[in-house]
Amino acid sequence: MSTKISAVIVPKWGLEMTEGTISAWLKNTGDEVERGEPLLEVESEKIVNSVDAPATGVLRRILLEAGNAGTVGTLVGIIANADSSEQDIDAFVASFRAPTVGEGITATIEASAAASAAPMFAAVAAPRETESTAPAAAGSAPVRISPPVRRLAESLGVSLEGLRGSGPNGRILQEDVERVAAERAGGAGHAVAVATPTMVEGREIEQPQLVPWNATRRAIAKKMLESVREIPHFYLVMDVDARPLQTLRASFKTSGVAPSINDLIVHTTARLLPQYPAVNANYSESGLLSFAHAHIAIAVATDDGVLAPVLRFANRLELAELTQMVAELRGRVTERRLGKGELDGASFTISNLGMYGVREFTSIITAPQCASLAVGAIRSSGDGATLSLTLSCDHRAIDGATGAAFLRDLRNALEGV
Amino acid sequence: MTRDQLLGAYRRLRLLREFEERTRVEFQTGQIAGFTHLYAGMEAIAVGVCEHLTDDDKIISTHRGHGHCLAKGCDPIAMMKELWGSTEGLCRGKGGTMHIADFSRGMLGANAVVGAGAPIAVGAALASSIMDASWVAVSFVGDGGTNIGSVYEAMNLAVVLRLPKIFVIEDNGWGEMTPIDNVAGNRDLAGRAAAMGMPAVSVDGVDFFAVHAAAGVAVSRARSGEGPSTIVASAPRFYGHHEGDPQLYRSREDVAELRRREDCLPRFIDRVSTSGELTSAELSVVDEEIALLMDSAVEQSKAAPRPTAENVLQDVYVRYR
Amino acid sequence: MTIKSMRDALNEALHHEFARDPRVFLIGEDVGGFEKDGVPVEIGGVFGVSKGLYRQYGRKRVIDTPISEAAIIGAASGAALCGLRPVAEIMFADLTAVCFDQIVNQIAKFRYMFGGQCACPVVIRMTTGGGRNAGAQHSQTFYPIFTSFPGLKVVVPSNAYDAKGLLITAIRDEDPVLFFEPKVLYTEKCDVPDEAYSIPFGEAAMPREGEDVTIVAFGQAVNWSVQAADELRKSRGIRCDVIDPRTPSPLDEETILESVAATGRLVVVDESPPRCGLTADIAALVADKAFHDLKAPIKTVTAPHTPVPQARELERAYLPNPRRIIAAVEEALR
Repeated sequence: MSTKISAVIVPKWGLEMTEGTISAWLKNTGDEVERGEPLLEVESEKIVNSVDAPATGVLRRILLEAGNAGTVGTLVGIIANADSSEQDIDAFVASFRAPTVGEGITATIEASAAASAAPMFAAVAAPRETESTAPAAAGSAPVRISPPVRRLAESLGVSLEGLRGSGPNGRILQEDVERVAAERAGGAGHAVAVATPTMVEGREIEQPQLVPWNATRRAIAKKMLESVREIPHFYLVMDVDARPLQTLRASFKTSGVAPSINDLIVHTTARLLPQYPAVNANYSESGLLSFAHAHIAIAVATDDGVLAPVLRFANRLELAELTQMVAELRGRVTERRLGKGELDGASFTISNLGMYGVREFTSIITAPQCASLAVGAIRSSGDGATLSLTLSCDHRAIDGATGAAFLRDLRNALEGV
Repeated sequence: MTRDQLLGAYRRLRLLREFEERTRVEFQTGQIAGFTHLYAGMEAIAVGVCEHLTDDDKIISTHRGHGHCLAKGCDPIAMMKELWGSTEGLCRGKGGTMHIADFSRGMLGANAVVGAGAPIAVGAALASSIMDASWVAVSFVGDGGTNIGSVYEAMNLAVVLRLPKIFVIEDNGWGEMTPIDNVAGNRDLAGRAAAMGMPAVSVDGVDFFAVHAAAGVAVSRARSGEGPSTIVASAPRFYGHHEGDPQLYRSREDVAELRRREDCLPRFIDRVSTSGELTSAELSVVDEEIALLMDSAVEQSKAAPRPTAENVLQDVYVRYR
Repeated sequence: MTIKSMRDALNEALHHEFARDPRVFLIGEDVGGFEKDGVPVEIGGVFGVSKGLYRQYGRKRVIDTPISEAAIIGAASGAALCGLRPVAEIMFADLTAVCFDQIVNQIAKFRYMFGGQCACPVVIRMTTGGGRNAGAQHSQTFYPIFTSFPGLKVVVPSNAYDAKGLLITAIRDEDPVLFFEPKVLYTEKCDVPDEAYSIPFGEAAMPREGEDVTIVAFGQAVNWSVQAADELRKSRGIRCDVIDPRTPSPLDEETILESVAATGRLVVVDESPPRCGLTADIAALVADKAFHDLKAPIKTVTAPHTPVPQARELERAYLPNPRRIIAAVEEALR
């Protein structure tokens, strides 16, 4: 059995994060941990999120307790297997060097919201070596280049030193090597590796600055991609006479908490959903996962992307209660105080871009839900006021007629409030 | 043949016999791994043919290949070490009894697949033809091997391309444990070869001089570019198909009778003594030398270095990556 | 450089090597020609790959043989043992079954059995694969089988450029090389340099680069995979590494493992049937050496466990295609 000691460090989320505060350790020393399992919670200026265990083993040391802050890269804990001796661990701790951040290349560790993939860079992922090793300095983390492309570079005499490719995360592609070789054709001396041209036909071109995706963005991207790839979407658009909604809303303005148009729509939709089990459901390969109650994810925009906390048993909520709960959810999203699981278990999603004046839009269904409602802005013309609803449906679970009937009933309900 | 040539021939005949007899003895002690197929009784064929060949000429043999190896000039001590599996063996312990080869002597290997050697030897002859070289190629196959397709493909190709090739069929009457009469539709083995378009003769394989004469004709035909020919030589094998073969197919009396009547060595001695070409004293000296050589071979083989696990991985390719 | 077909590229390789090395010769059925009333009649191979050689070099170096696969390959091997550089042609890979002993028991083992005393630098060229409705006995791949035999090298080019460079390497190689030419690709064209060049064995090509899924493919499956990768990129923004190992033996493991470490997802494609083939071999390699990089089960796309059918619709249904590769990539991304 080889001794394998892994470092747990303060991660870097986002370009600007310089330090993080440990809000809680989710495991105690002596506990067994699995690679990818949430290990501790760290709070930065922007978000609170959990850090996954970088390796499987035993949490042998906690070096920074909850409540304390550390700069990015600080060693906060040690995971090793039972074979590693205390002396080995002491030696590891003593020789540990926090990874330094190189220019333009940032080592990141994905939070648990994202997939449990190991980070691309060599920095501080679970070491594959069997000896205990200190993590490689992030500044020297290599960009990816496939062996055939490396061989091509060798054969063309292209130096890879400092070269940043045009692939994701600076991956050096075959076309990059060929371009550099062509540029250098006829030149002597050592290569000046240029990733993108600075001048084209005498005019300056701006070099874009790499802003690495943070964990939240990556998670969203992954989910969006999955939804688009896997769910056969179709869309139904319906115009709703918004005047009854406006009238109703106006009537509340005088008394305390006033529901927004969106709250009204959420409330009405919640009551309708249990009548349409195919719409108010999750999809699984084996069958429809049917809900008796409506659990509606309310899309809220944040700096880091859309988060949609779930309003549970929304069909049982009175309007006033619903309004209050939605407001409270929004608040916690903004303050980054969502609890674990608050983003899960929705049977339906409602998103609204009306405040931006968007007339109508189509939303991407969040798997494993089967449908999603997109609400547009109210547009007035003369005496009238209309808003557009767009229902996105998963055609595996919902046919056109079912979706249309639901949307028709929703419109009728909204117009008949 | 001159006196020197005769003495040399005798030496080789005796060497082949004593090597096999000694191998048999050592094999029974369990020190030689695997199977072994003894050539004892058939020496006149290998020696009779190989007397005409130089190191440049190529031969390919069968699983019963010790005799051909020795007749072609391979070092008996290195051969014995190979049987022992030592890294100082001809094939560094990688081939063993059935795959002994010495390319420096034109011995392209004993081959354990019946009939496989014939086309390969045709290739050696083809190389000679393409390179305008003067070497000839000889393949040996048993009577059992005359029923396998590749032998006829090889014969046909050699005829069509007019190659310097000699096919030697060693008819000992047994294809493993089955008599040739039961498996050869046409018992005339020479006739089969002739049907492929080349001259083919049958000779008494116990008579060294008969083999030698026929081989001389075939070799000079080949060297002069007249194409391939076949020699069918009949001789008994004194031992089983392989050591350990219970020989259920013939009785001990039959075998004893064969050894009395059909032994090429007494016949050779008889002939050269009668004609006065060689004296019994000279022959005895050779016998003694061979006996000592065999003792030395076995002694050295027992002490020779053994292979290690690394040797498993060597010589699969000239260069793999 | 000019645009040339694979057939012409291979022909050029033969001409280069014939001119460069007098030890090189060609042997096989219908590869050369014959004299009729003193006038040479050139056949140049049933697929035209050896065109021009008989006329230029004559019967000594371009040898037509009887239909005798065992003798052809045996003779080639014997000549190689004696220092020549034979290029033997077996018309269809399927027919190596007829001379299987000469290839796997003889050629593959000479150097090893004889303790390194000899080398057998023979090249055996064969057409391989389906797509020409040639039927069950003339459409098999056979390169997976020979990959499993130590002592042999196995080459499967997927385009004209690679074909020329790999054949030149094969002829210059000291070890036995089995060179499989996908018959359906003889007419496929690309830029091929006029001069001689050699492509090293054990180095994969990578016609497409991407981050999402690794596709490893052989022979004509490389082209299907490139088509699939391009379609996926265009319509779904999915980007794939497409790896063409070119030489199943020796195999470029490094490129495959590096790619899987980055993508975490693997699809292996080959037109051979599924059992004991290259797809299983590479899946096992990755499952062993890159298990912790995988985010999804390894997917393979192969022909079914049947012989190759002859009718157009049947062979089309039998062979893999870009659509099935796309589906496998999507599976891997699930």
